[in-house]
Amino acid sequence: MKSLHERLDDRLEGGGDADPEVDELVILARRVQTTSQPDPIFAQRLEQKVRRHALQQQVKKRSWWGMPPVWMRFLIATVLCLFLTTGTILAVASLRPNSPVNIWEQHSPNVPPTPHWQTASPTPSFQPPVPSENSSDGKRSSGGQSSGASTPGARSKSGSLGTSTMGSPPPSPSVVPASTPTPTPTPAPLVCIVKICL
Amino acid sequence: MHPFASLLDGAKSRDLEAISLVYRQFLPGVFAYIFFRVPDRNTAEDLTSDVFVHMVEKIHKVKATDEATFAAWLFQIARTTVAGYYRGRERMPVSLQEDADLIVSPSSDPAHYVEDCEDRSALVQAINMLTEEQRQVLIGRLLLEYDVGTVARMIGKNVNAVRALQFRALQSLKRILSKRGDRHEITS
Repeated sequence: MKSLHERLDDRLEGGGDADPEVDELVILARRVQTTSQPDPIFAQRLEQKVRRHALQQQVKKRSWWGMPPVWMRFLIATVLCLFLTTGTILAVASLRPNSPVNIWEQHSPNVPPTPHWQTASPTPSFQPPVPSENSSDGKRSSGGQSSGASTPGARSKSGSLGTSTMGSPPPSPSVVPASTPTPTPTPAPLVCIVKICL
Repeated sequence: MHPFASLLDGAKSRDLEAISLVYRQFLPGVFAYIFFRVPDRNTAEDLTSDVFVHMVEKIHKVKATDEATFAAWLFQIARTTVAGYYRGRERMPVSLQEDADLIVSPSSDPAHYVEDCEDRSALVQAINMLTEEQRQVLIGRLLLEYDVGTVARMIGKNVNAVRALQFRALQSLKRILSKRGDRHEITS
């Protein structure tokens, strides 16, 4: 003898004989089925919406920021190369004694760096070399003094640089080598990056 | 490979035809599940739409390979969507949404339509009083027309437990509707 559960199951699947005990439940089940049918127009509209959405997802998957993945990879590689190249160039530049990075570092150890445009004379930075004997006329030397002698440390450093580049006898402390181009100040973060690279 | 597994693979790779077939297969069940949980048909349609949109977005991540597991996943989305609707409703001001079915009556005979609405409303309230497992069994067996074994895998029970849940669900519905003095005879 089958249980009520099994008899109901059989009747729901269309089998079994008429059974007054479970038939009432079967009819109730049919009522549940018919009450909750979706509207065909709604079903059709929603299917179109779902397909459209799936298509959008396909396109979205294929691209990122509206760019195909190949282009995206190329862009990332370019940015990476650019970054590495800049780092290498800065590192190499910092190893050369005449590089602006080194000059900046020599100026900076104990004394806070004073930008050259605050201490320099109104004369242009890049001047033709002035012979040392002409410095006694007082015009040039006074201007040079004012431009390079803002601090004692800075004066001695710039003097030694002038010696190496000019190859002339050691200049008097009052003479500032005009042939040495005024170093372009390198921003401190770049120096830090170079140090990290080294 | 099982036909549903290959269909699911197609849907996961966002093949439009496969997605359409999955949609058509599960629409009646998902719609019915939501329809019996919310106050009106319009809301049920909106939430059903949300469920299938969510399905399309996440189908590539689903680990299911058979129909029962996929159905369980989809009904989980439906359940979350309905819960989200009620959470949002708590924050919303009281509206006439309950009567939306009456306002947009598609029927030519208003009396008949009101009767239908009341009938539906009684049934919805009765189904809402069932347990979640009983509801899922009714949806699986009656709307998705799955056999007992598939429903058992879907809800993680054995076959006999599903038969018992099905019987108790229908019996509870009958009792609740009788108590409410359902205007129509349950068996009419």
